[in-house]
Amino acid sequence: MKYNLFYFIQSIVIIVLSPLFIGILRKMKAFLRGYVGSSIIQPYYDLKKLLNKGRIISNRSSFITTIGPIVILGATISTAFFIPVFYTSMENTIGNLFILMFAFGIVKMFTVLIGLDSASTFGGMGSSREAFISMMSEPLILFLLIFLYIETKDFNTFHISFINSKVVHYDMAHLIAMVTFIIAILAENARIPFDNPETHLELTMMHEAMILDLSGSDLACVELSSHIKLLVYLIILINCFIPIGIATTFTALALSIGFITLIFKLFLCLLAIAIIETTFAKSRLFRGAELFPAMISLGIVAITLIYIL
Amino acid sequence: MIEALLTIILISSIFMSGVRRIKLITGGFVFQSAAIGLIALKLGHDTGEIHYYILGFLTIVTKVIIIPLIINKSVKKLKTNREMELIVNGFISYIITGIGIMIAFGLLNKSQDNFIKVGIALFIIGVLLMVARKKAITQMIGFLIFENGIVLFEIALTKMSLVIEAGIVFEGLMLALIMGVMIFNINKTFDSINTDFFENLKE
Repeated sequence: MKYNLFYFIQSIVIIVLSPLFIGILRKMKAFLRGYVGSSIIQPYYDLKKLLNKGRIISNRSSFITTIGPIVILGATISTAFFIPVFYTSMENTIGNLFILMFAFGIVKMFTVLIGLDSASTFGGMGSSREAFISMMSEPLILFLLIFLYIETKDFNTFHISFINSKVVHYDMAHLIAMVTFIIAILAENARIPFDNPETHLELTMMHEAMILDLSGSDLACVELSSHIKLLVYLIILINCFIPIGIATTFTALALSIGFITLIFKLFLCLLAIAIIETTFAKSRLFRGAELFPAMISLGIVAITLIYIL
Repeated sequence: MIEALLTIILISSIFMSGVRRIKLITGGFVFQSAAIGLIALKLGHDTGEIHYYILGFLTIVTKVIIIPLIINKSVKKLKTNREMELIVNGFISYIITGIGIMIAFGLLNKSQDNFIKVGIALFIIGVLLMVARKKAITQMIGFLIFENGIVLFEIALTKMSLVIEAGIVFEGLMLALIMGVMIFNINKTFDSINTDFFENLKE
């Protein structure tokens, strides 16, 4: 009981802190580009401003636009409870990897439907691009799930994290799968080699094009869910592939070490994303999609290495 | 440490198998060669044998410094910086590489030696770049990758003598020099380094 309560609390912490980390990411990008940038708590102000506005829905749109944003936010928040944050154990809890990925599938499906729903041109274009990219990134995610299962013989993220935190020396297959997962994160969260999260330029946008019709509190829901989604993916990367330092015993020292190492690793990941976003240019749609066969090839190599050795 | 370096070699070589820009392929080659040189130096540090040190230094000097300079010089002279018409396109190259490496690792499942496996992966990628590309400069880089595979293969076999190791390294260097001159002459004769034009007869 105590453990489950603690799992609940640590997931709540991640949900509450996710806009703060997005603010830190924006601040890092501003620093790398050489300007001051907005404050790191600016995402909270943005969400507050949007939540205070009313709801305007096109009279041509169906019930999808009415329920869509809430469904997206609900599915994203539920994924935050499926992952270990800074404490894990071998207790039997929720945390199946497939449920996690299917919850993200719900998010993706409703975003695509919202884009199609009000029959605007940009929405349809964004939806088709998003579906094209997801068609490529789903097999990648499945490869990595199979890899994690073969490595640890377990589907539960908490157990995977616990087993991998005991490993001192990671082998070649594990490192290859980790690199592959980093690219999968960039693809799933509409980050720069695939999509630019900052622009509203009609030729380049994918994620923004689909939510162009939303405003007010609906837009706040979708924005918050995209913030939580990035954080959840980063924590899956950290806690399933490099869970060094995560608390495995319920003591104050272990918990504080776990919290500090988690914050440190998150900062490193955000810095890496900021460097990628400031140095690379967004690639053309079909040229960006050429990365996926490379990633699938790396996934094949990782699974072959782990399965045969 | 060695596992991480082998990971760098595998990832960079798989990326090189489908990239079009010659600058990126050269960058991958530099990473790969630096990792191989560091592996040789690390093995020399672990075992204390002098020939590993010599191999490591030779690899780093020739393949990280001299050969990329030659390639960049000839790219600048030729004004072709990317491969436009591929015989096998990027998508299929990546998948062929993955499946080829899978089959090779499957056949080698008795061996516990990672050097041999990564060496064979480099053979596959080098041969793919030699067969499936049209520009002579990419084919040359394919041969150099193949040759990196030979170096890794040879690190795994401890009985090789120093003369052969030095021979392998200098052969790569001479190849790069000769190909640099040759590609320039091909360009002068045919106005392109596309090897399809070799079928045209000229006086």
